[in-house]
Amino acid sequence: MSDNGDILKVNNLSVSFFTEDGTAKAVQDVSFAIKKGKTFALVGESGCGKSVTALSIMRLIPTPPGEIVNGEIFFGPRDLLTLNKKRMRGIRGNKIAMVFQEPMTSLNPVYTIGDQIIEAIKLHQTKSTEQAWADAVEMLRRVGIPDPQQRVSEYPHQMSGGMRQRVMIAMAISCEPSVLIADEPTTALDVTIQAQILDLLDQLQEQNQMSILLITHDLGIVAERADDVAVMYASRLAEIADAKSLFDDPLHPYTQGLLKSLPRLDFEGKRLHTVPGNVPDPLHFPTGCKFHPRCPLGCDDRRCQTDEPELREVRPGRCVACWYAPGYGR
Amino acid sequence: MAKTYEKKDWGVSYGEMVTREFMKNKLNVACLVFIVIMFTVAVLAPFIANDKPFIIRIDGKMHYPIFKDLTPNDYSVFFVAALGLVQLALIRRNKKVIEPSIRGSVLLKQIKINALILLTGLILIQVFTPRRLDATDYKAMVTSGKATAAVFPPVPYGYARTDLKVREQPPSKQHWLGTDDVGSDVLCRLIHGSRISLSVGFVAVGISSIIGVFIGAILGYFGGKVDFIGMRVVEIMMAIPTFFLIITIVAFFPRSLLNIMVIIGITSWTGNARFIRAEFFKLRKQDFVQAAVSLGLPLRNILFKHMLPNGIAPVLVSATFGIAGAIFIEAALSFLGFGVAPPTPSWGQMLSLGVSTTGRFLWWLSIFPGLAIFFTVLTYNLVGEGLRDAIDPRLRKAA
Amino acid sequence: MPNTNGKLLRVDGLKTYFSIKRGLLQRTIGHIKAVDGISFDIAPGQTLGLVGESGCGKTTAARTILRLIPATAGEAIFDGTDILQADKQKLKQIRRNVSLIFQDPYSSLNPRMTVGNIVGEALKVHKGITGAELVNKVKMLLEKVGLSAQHINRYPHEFSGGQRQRIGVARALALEPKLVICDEPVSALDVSIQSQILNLLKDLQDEFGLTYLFIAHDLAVVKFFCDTIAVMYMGKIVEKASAKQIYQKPLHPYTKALMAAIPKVDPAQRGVRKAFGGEVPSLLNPPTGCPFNPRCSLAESQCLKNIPELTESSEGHFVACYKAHKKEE
Repeated sequence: MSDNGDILKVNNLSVSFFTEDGTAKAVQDVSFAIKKGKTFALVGESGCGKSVTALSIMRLIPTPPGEIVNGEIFFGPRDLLTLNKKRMRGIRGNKIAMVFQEPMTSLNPVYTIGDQIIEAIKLHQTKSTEQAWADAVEMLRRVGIPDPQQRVSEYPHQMSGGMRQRVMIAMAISCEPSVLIADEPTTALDVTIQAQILDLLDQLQEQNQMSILLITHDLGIVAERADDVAVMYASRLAEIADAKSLFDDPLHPYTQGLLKSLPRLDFEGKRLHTVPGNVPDPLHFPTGCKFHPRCPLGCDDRRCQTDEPELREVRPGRCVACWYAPGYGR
Repeated sequence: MAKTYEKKDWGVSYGEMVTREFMKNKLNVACLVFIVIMFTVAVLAPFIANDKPFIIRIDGKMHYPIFKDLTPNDYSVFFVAALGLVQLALIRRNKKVIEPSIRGSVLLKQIKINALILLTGLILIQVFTPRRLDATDYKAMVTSGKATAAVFPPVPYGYARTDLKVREQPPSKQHWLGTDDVGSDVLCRLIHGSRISLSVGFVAVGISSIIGVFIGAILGYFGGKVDFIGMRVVEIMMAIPTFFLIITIVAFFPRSLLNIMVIIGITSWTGNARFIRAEFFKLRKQDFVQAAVSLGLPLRNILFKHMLPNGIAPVLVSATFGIAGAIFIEAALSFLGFGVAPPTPSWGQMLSLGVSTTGRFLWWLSIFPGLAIFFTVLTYNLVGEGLRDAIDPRLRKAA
Repeated sequence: MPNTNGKLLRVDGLKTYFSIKRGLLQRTIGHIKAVDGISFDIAPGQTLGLVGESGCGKTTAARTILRLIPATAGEAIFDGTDILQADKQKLKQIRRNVSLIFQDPYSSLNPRMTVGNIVGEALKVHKGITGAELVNKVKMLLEKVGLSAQHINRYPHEFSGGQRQRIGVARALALEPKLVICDEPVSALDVSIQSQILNLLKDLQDEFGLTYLFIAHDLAVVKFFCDTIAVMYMGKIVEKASAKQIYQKPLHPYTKALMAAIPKVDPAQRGVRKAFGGEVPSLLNPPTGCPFNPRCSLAESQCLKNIPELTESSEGHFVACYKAHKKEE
């Protein structure tokens, strides 16, 4: 399957949550591929299913109520969804690692930083404690923590948010994974710290030839860091493109609306452009194209109201799911 | 607010969500049914177990001794139960008829009116109901043929009537659960004892909840020095083993039901105070409370409309456990002989008769009251557990 | 308003210290200077933006002005009365005229109250409006903020984040306040919702002549929304000027760093943004001299010893940096 340098390939992934209030189709028919050594960004608003997609790749969907109902996730030649638990554990954290949004709660407050990194190292590698400890210090140095010798025996509460996120990254890369999933890695951090963390990720990517799946809601970060971008809206992919073409020429009305509504430093107008309406709730998605109630083009179109457009390649490297997109074919 | 919009626009309140969650569990429903049955039995005890007949014909004249024999306390119990039912019916009706925005104020008004009726009613009943002691042995009249026809309650014995001829008898056709050391029917005493247990449970918990919520709210909202001193008092209270404290206090006061309820109530509020204090500490910093302060709302609104409804849940849960606890303490006190004075029936005191003065083990005097205590305490604990799970669904899913 | 020079709010030397207590007797062993002597003023109908990273004291400053947190020193004169010294009666009066919009739309609404009650409570308490009049007023407010009047009997949990924020706005506007303090009103919202709320706040300002104190960490949002911007760092205002001035010619190195840190939504400009080193020092253990010196590339001996004052560098442009002034000369 890894023909054209794709290291991770998601095919037709669908995930549902079966709750007492009904079935929430959190992810529907999502397909994308991450290239080796590149950053693939998955952008979307809260509840669009981007985090669920990430958790599915790690096979960390809480079951019940969640369930991966359909799809394949190829990591090299293997479909991760068919692996047994033991082999999945060998991949999780080792070949594919994850960094979470909340650096405050992702670390265990009763263990030192060192203990927690060592635990991650020893889980996948056979090393003596001394060796692992030395590794941990080295990891902390690599993620740019000053005085790693001393910091390694400190507790999480003694560190700032940015430092904790660095520790999380150190843990994630301790086994030199080939894919790093970063779920909103900078959302909880201050702007000046954000840039530091993103730089760190860039630098580590270069060193290890690691692929990064960057999950975020921040289009600015995407513009700065991503090679390829998938825009997700209400459980489906709206658009896939390389970063440059996406920002130069967004095809989906949702992407267009989002880009226009961002307040930019050089913006001079009185009012911002808005995308009207609310982010739909996964339990009550609209019929047809899920964006149609908020769409300037399709809100009155019968077709958009009843038929959901699938993701189609409209020109090389550009996929979009919109009846109105040029070249989509109605 | 006046009526405005259609029902379909009515939101689902937190209370309704919790109720729905609670009712989903079959065990909870079973426990509720059990409690309802217990309540019915306790309220209607004089009609279920009584040595007075409903109707009796003496010398060709009809008499209704059971109704004449009812004490002011019996009437009070009926009155309270009836008002309670009315209140429940009103709450149910409000949910359907009154829009959510004004439900709170309507309910408050109803509670105020009901409380007023309750108070005046109780005083009137206690003052104006005649107190008579009818010691006539109607059963003897029937057997002797003085009375021609009579309808007795299902358990035709009085809880205070002694009959030394049949003392310490095991279960039989006449006495389904046997008799005790003075020949009273065990089933009858069990039924009347449920009144004691339930009233101790509810009144004691009511007292301790009110004290606890009040003190906890003050400590939690004001914090600082008030809290520092208050918490030390609470800690001192908690350091004393409640049960021994109760025994000590009980020794100084007449052994009436009211005293026991009050004593249990005023010794067990510390837990509630701590719960509410912790909740208020947390809530005080919450944005919606800060919003209420910043809008210049009066302290009363902030405490009772914004904070209390959000912090009351753990107290409700602990109150349910508290009822079980209070019933248990009362039983234990009575078992040790510090409880209500005979002939008032109490489960704990009945239990203590299980080993007679002659040293004989009377199993029916241990088993039946024991089971009654066990099931009652268990039910309330289960309800408490169910309530806790319903209030915090995350807890349930994590478990 | 004789002593406020036509300003609606004038804050002067505001300080909020939190004491650090240790031990059984809760002895004070030190202070956290969350807000350390800030001064600014807002003219009626204007918007002042208070920008800074988390922990810089901007939220504490806002809450101190509303007396939700006790102030240590300074004054905040609103409409001629010092909020910080006002007695109960006056404070009540002030709180009718100053309202607050919160960051988190989830924790800022009482989950046990209906939307109608949340929005209408203050009207009932302060203005004695009840019955049909209250309902009409609440309906009007809901429609004003872009919600449907039918929502009056719903509970907060039945709304999405953006809608809840609208409820919060309606509550803040119920008493027709003069000054609205917006504490990061859009940072917890989805991207497509942020611009809706910002536009709504702008429209309401135009309609009711509102004055805003707008607190945010995002310079781009503040630049769009505000007339004047004050940049805060570790409890102090380090730069204060009109939005245009700050954008065109930022003087303080921290402001420059903040501007540079904003990601550009344009892949062509990739690499332009330079990461800015260091972290915000702990308030428990602040550096001596200029609080920014550990992160500043321009710092020299003077910066390590003395704390620079906020001084006017050019017309209406204030900055607290020795180096910034030097460059001007």
